[in-house]
Amino acid sequence: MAPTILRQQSGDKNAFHIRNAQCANSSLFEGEANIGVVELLAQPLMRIRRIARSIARASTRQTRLPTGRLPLVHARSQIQPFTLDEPVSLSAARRGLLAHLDARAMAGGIDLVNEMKRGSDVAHVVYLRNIPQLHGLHIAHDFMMIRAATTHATIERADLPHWLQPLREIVQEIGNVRVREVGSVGGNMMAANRNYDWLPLLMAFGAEMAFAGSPNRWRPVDGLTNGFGEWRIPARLLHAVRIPLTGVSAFTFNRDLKPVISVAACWRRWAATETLRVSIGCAFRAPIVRELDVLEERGAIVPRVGERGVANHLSTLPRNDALAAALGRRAVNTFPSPHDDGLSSSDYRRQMMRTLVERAVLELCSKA
Amino acid sequence: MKPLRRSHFVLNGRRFSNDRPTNTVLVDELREMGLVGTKVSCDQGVCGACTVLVDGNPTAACMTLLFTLDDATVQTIEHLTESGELDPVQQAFIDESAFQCGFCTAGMVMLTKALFAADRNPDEQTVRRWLSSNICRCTGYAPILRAVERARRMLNDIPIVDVHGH
Repeated sequence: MAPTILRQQSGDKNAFHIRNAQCANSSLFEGEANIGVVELLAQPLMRIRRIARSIARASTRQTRLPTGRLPLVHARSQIQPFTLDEPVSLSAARRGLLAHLDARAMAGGIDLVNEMKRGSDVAHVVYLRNIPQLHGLHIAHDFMMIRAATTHATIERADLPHWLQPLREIVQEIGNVRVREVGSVGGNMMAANRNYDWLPLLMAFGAEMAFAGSPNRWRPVDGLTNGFGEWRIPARLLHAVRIPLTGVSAFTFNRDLKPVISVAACWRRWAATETLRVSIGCAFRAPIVRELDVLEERGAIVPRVGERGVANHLSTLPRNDALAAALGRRAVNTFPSPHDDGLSSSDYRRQMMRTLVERAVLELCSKA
Repeated sequence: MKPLRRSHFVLNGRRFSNDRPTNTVLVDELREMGLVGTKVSCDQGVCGACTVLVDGNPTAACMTLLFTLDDATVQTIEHLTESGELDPVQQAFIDESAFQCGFCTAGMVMLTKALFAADRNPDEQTVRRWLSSNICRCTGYAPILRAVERARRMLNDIPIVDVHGH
């Protein structure tokens, strides 16, 4: 509240009284004080001068974060001590996360430790590695379930059926051998990093996820984004992901141009449908997936035979190149415009989207 | 006061059991104990200079918090052999001069040890895939690959073809 300026009748006609009833605790404003006119007018100027000096000093030194850490520095010395919770059950883990507003879940810890090294204030950690319900994978005839804390290396070494061998080759390219030993599928997904691999791949598969506390409620992994390249990570503990295997003809994941763009594709034939799910990573803030109707595209380039149309296997078509081009064009028209950043322009990403989708289709034609 | 947590694991054949702050990183603990063969370079788990073996698996010591090692077996470059003699992999690196500044070498050796533990006779593609996990700025990787090949031949009793006259 601005001080109230009163004119006092005194012998000095230039003297003013300043009374500020709101400043009862200020020794400077107890009761009334006599201040000359010059000083009164100079005060705002002096204040402006003090502010300017403060700005100048701040611009010439690194400003520490309130916790004492330095921004833009990545170092082990920046990892602050934290309280640790080591539950052995999912329910205990959920309680631990709910008990502390700022609690963070840790499986392999790669992203969390790097975050801590960058100065993030993590006061409480819930360590998930001792929870058996979060480890392992299970392959049935129509689905493959991967629990959230399962490491990439576990999948790399798993006894996969022969037609799932491409999955092993895909996993072998994740990170490096050290990352694969400790990094987890769930951590990779929930890290909300647009350059990470599991979410685009799972999106292409049409995979589903379940969270702790709702183990039988499966929802599409697409729900981790808004469908237009923005993250929607819920504050929940991921329990497992489930990949439907019914009708999967072939799949591929091209990461040759990471971190500019990555393209995962899964060809699925089921009953009278034939679909291609294409997901794009790296080119948006979050991966985006679109489902393309292969039969519709094929019908556009191949004349229909008979009343019910052609139901040939894709690989028998003589115009795979045309189909690949058509699907590539359709993909570009379906996805939003990729973002522009220091790595690549939006236009280049769009061009590569079309090229890599075409290549994916040709590769899937040869595998299907 | 820093929250403490007792960590217990086997380090180079000896039991380690101590209370340490929860934010203690393995590489700092190793170097505090005088095991300075494990180097820190990128501090992000990318370069591999800090590679140690945890239960036989290559692990970035700069990214490993101590409390995650309960009941694990940790091995550093200083303890490749019980007798103190050079391990065949180390000897192969020397024979092929597979180092210049030496900063990445400990990590490369430990990674190679882990590779041979996983696959005693890896093919070239497997070797390249594994070694792509570590970075060397000096050698251009060719001498390192020759060293790994040399060690592979030694381990599998395959005659060593010396094309460099030494």
